[in-house]
Amino acid sequence: MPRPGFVLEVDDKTPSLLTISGAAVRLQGFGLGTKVAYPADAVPSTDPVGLIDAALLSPVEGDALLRRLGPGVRLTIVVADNGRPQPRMRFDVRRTMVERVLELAARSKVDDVQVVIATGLHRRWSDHDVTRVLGDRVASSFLADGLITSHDVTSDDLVGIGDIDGHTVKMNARVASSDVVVTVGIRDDHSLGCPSTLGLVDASTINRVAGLHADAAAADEVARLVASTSETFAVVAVIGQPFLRPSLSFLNRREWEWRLVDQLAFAAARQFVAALPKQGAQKLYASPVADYAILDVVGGSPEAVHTESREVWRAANAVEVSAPADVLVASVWGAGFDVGNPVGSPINAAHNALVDQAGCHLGTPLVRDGGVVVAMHPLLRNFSNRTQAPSADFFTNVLPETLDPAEIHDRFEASAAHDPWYINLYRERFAHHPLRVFHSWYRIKEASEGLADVIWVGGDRRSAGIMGHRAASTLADAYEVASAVVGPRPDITYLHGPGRVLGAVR
Amino acid sequence: MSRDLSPWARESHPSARPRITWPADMMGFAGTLFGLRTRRPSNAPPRQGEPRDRLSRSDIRRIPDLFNVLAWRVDYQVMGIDALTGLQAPVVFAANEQGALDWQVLKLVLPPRLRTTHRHLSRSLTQGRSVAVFTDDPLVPDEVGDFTTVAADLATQYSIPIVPVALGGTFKLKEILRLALKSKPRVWVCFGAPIYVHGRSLAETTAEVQAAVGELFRSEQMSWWAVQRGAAAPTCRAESMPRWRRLWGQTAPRPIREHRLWQ
Repeated sequence: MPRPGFVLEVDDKTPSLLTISGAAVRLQGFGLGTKVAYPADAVPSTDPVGLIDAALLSPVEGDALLRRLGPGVRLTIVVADNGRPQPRMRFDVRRTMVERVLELAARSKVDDVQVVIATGLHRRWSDHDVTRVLGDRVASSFLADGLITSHDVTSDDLVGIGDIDGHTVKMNARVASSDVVVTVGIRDDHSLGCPSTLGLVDASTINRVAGLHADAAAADEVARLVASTSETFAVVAVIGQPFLRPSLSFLNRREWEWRLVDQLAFAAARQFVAALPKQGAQKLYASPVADYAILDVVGGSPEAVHTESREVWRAANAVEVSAPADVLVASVWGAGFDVGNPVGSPINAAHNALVDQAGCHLGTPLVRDGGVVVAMHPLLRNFSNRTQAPSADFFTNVLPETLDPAEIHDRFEASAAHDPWYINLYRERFAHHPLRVFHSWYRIKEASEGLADVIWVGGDRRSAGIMGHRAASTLADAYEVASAVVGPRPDITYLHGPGRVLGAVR
Repeated sequence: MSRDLSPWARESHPSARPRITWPADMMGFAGTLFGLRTRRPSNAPPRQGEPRDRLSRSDIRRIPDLFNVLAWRVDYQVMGIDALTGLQAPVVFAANEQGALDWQVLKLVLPPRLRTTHRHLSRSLTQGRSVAVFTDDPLVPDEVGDFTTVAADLATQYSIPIVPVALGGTFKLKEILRLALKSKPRVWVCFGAPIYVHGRSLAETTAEVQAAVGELFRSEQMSWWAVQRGAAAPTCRAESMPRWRRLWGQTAPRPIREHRLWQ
């Protein structure tokens, strides 16, 4: 079991602490009394087969998987993918879970088996992605026969499974016509809802339950409808914090525990990013892989599994914080949210800082109402032409017009959602669906509603201005700007990256 | 643009000039004697030991061991090595017995962190070293001999997986290597998915290992899923044949395929 997270109060023995801004790392001195929330320790994974077998044989609710399988059963394995975790897993536990399920299916002489990747609005999986995540054995057995498909939220062959408030819910045809569906997923946060459910329905339904007026009750209703189409067995692995390879080993350890090898890795990483041209640094740090400890694997009925896995993640990652801070400081690491881009794009950076980090709490926010969030990121206009074309256009054309989610929804959303070029990129070129950036922005605005200001340290002033935020050159400047709102002696909490802290505010 | 942005909110263009940061950083660390003398903050928890690492794809990249003489003398092919991804030593390799050089061939193709021994099995596993267990001599040539319960027993005792391995082309390899041949003899090694023993009896595990190695041996062309499905089906055993026919078959030229399912 890894060491749990904790809050360090900076004293005169505390060394300078690691901060990350896009791809750049540095050691930053923090003022005495600053509270630093460290996530639970990152440790390497161990072989998860024992946990997976136990979850399949002794589910938290319902029959064991083996009892649901038999000759003649039409089995579909749904692999949930919501774009996380990032950095991607060195040993993707979904591969082992799928293999164990397939071995049970083989033992039960199930002939009709297919694998569906539930991606929702995220980029669909290419054959390369399937091989990388699910491994050679699954890929070579199923991919050549077209038995692994990535769900398409815009496909014409989705089937209607019921109505919610007059809206027809459509879902993947193969999953809807299966006798037994096994959903395989990962829990790496404290969010509600089932990622595989929204990964399998049509774009319109996703927009209805996770769009401008995100509706948790409607999401539950959709989950019930999807579950009613076939017998569903869910298996979810709860994972820990990212454990990085030796070239980034300093990210795994607390600063006062750094040894020579960590110090060398830190100095080398800084030097490479500072000295190499952008492409060179990108080659080195664009797609790091991380190992994640498998904290538990939970199997059974989808509702029970998601409740249980959420509890496990909470128990492993909750960090008690004494009170909401006046100023919350967050490092934003590009490799932690954008695939193949070590710096990260501005909208995803804002989502990471305000929703994923500042919004990761047990009900009481980490920053008080009227407080300030200080985030570190360069906010360069760094969008992938292929996978983030809608985001680039949103940033260039929509945000300079208005920041208001309702107005954006009325004026821009429908045309983007049906834009033939965006849809072509989504279906054929493995880009994100155009609605995704709209949903990100709605969540960013919700998260920043109660804040007096959002200040980006080292951020591009124009990008910050476009998002309605402010920029400062240094952390001290950011405190100076914030002091106009929170006073000269604010309570400051720093969320130490790159792991994720679940704030349990007393 | 209908929103008015502040006039000073201009796009920045970061300098492309390279900066030298390494000396200053290392000078900063010199104050801590490079990690030997550090001060722990008052309320920081104590340090914890780190567990071992698992085998990744990069660890099992097939780089020939050039210090191994056998690597220069045989033409070897490895299949299904991806099955080793994610394993953590020690493990038990269960392989079919074909000839005197079986263990050397297996050792040749395994990544360094999984290199095996076939002596003092229990002691080796206690020390974290993987072991190899072979079948008895096959009663019918060109078939897989019978496993004893040793592999299952060790796997149960140490809670570790068994990796089925099929070896081909090693029959009489030692004698063949003594001949003055113009071409190298061809051997192949095929790894199967690890078998986990939780909650199974020794007999059940042994039967599964036997079936897995048998299927691997017979089914170079089949996919993993096909092998999995075929594992439960009864298989017909090959007819008995004289030794020369076995060697004749072993040395027969095979059609060149660009893609192999197990690779």
